[in-house]
Amino acid sequence: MSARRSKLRIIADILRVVESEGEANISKILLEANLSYARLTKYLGELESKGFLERIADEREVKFRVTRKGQEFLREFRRIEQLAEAFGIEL
Amino acid sequence: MRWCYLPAPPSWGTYVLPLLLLLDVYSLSALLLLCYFLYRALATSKVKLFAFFFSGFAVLAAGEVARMVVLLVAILSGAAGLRVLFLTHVAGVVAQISETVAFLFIAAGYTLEIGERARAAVLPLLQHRRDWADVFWATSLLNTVLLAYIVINAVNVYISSRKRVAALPAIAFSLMLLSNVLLMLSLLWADELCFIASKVLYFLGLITLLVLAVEVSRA
Repeated sequence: MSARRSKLRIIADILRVVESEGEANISKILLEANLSYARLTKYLGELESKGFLERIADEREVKFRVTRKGQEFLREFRRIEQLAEAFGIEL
Repeated sequence: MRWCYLPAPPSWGTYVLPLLLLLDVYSLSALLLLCYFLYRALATSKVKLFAFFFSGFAVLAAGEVARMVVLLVAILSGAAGLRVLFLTHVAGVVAQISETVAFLFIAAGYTLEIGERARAAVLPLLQHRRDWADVFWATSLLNTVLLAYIVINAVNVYISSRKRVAALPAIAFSLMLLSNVLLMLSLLWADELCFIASKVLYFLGLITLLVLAVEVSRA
């Protein structure tokens, strides 16, 4: 495993955390995806604008949910991960 | 033309060509499926190493297509005797050269992965070969060296990850290596059984790649 994660893997890690929780708030994603607050908010904004995540806001907190497009990306990433493992390619 | 100096192709009647064609169809479908997933992985991840493996398997698939076309021509034209001999030699040489190019791509992929320089110094070997028999033997030897190198790297990948999915390329390339060695022995000894075993092993290697493609599609 390389010391630095690629952007692709970071995006997949964020989506996986949110998908495993169903709905996840920023603190949970921050903890599980192992990112700084500044980087995470930047990624969350990007994922939201690309339609991979949707924001669910109420009076108390902001939560995120993986969209169908996000689920499709995760499925694609799993395939890429399998191929990368098969041929020893670092993602 | 010195095709008559080439090792003799199998001489077991007309059923052999359709059988070889059938094996090629299965092999081609395995390669195309793997190419499809590698292309998607390349397009999504933009990781250049996927391009080497994609190119390698795409060239292997192109070689299979060329071989299929020649075999189909041989079958449909009802060619017999010397014409079949000639056509199967053409098919063999075309496929052999495409395999060399393909294995060069794959070997380069593994080489860049482990951070070493590509060892393409063996290429000049081909530049001084004029007749097909020499090309056939040169590519056979080169393919064996390349496959041995690929197998070592694929086994290393498996040893470091211990994942089932990483074992599949190692098995596939090992079977192809064994097939290549058997092919050379079969031509050297003019042993038809050895030739069949070589084809079957190559086919099994491609089937292993098909299993990999199926596992990826299930992920």
